[in-house]
Amino acid sequence: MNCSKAREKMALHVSGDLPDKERATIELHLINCRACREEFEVLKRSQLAIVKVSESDIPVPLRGDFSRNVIQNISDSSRTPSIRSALFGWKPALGILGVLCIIALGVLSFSGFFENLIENRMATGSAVSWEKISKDFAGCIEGPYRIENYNPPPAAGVFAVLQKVNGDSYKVLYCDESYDLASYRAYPWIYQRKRQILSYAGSDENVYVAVCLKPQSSRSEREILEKNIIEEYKPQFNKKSGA
Amino acid sequence: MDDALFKVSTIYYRGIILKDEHLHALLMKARSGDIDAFEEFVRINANRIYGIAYQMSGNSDDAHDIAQEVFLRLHSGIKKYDPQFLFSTWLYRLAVNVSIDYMRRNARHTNVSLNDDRAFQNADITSGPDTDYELSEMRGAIGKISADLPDMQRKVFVLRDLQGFDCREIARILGCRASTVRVHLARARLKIRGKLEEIYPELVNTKKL
Repeated sequence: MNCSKAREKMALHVSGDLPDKERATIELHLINCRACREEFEVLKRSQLAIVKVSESDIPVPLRGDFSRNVIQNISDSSRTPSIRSALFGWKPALGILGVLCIIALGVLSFSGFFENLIENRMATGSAVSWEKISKDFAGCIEGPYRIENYNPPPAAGVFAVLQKVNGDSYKVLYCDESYDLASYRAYPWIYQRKRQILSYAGSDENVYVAVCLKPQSSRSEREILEKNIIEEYKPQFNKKSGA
Repeated sequence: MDDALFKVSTIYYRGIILKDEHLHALLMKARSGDIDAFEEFVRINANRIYGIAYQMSGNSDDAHDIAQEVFLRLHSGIKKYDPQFLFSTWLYRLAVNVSIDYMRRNARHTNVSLNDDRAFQNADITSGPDTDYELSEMRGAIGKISADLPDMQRKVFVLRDLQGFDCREIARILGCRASTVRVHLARARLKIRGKLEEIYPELVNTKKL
């Protein structure tokens, strides 16, 4: 057995993971090869460090409400029926009706019907009061801050980019969640949508941000709030096509 | 692979030793729509799955999200569960695969140059870390190194060295041969040993021993 092959075997022998039939061979090699004996000692020390880490507790324990949150998320998602059950779950006649509706929606979508509808809705304005936005954020909202002057904290949360329309009225342009609001990927203002949002809002003076900090939240919890806001306001920049 | 060689998992819950049979019964109830049974199943298994997710992802926020996703996927696929197979095999496989998917999706793990990283150098590698501080440093160093392992090596390393499954159990969980598990385990350990040497040169300095 050469030393390179022996090294791979030693990495298993160090924890007793080498099959019996190979154990005698490696032990014989170790008796005859001083370099491999030394390497075996190094591997033992490396393995000891790993074992000690594996025996120690994970620094941040699981949150106590974990299982309740899982059940809550299951309940929330079960309220939205799947396409399959909506089409085929109850009666075939409804399934056929569903298929026909989808075809009709496809035709309308292809013809630009919905784009026109959405554009009209945006054009006529869907600005709402800060009070309503605050209520829809379940009361945990902070802001509105001028987006140019706002430094997001390194904490988990949900945020919305707003366009100030007049006085106390805002239009929600974009909503997202992040495990760390200060991280680069969380903040659309910094990079990908800045030009589009500015162009849409007319000036950076009109663009604000509202934040709901949820430091101990899981992604699923944050996504529920984000989904609610998107459903309620249908923000322009949450549409796949952007502005 | 010989089914009889696959040990029945023992899980401790509130001081009571539970075997697979009890959890299997809970899963069967959950399969027939009993949401309370599923919640109990989640409560019993949550820490183990969170542990795997933490060791795969390296941080608690991601681990919470991954563990949530594992149980949500488990619930949505529960009707497909074939009772003739051990639920634990299915559950742990889901945990490692969801972890890998999650890390890919969020693309947050980057190659870390350990040569420049002085943050971990206080732990005593020659006798193993002993204090909480040393353990914390060593956990950070090993976490960073394992995050850069190829997917299969990372799965095998986490399941064998951090979770304590044996190679046959891991083969069942990952759906491969035990010999394949050993190959990936050896490679993972050699890479970790090499990286540890970069951070702790005294690992190979025999004068200190």
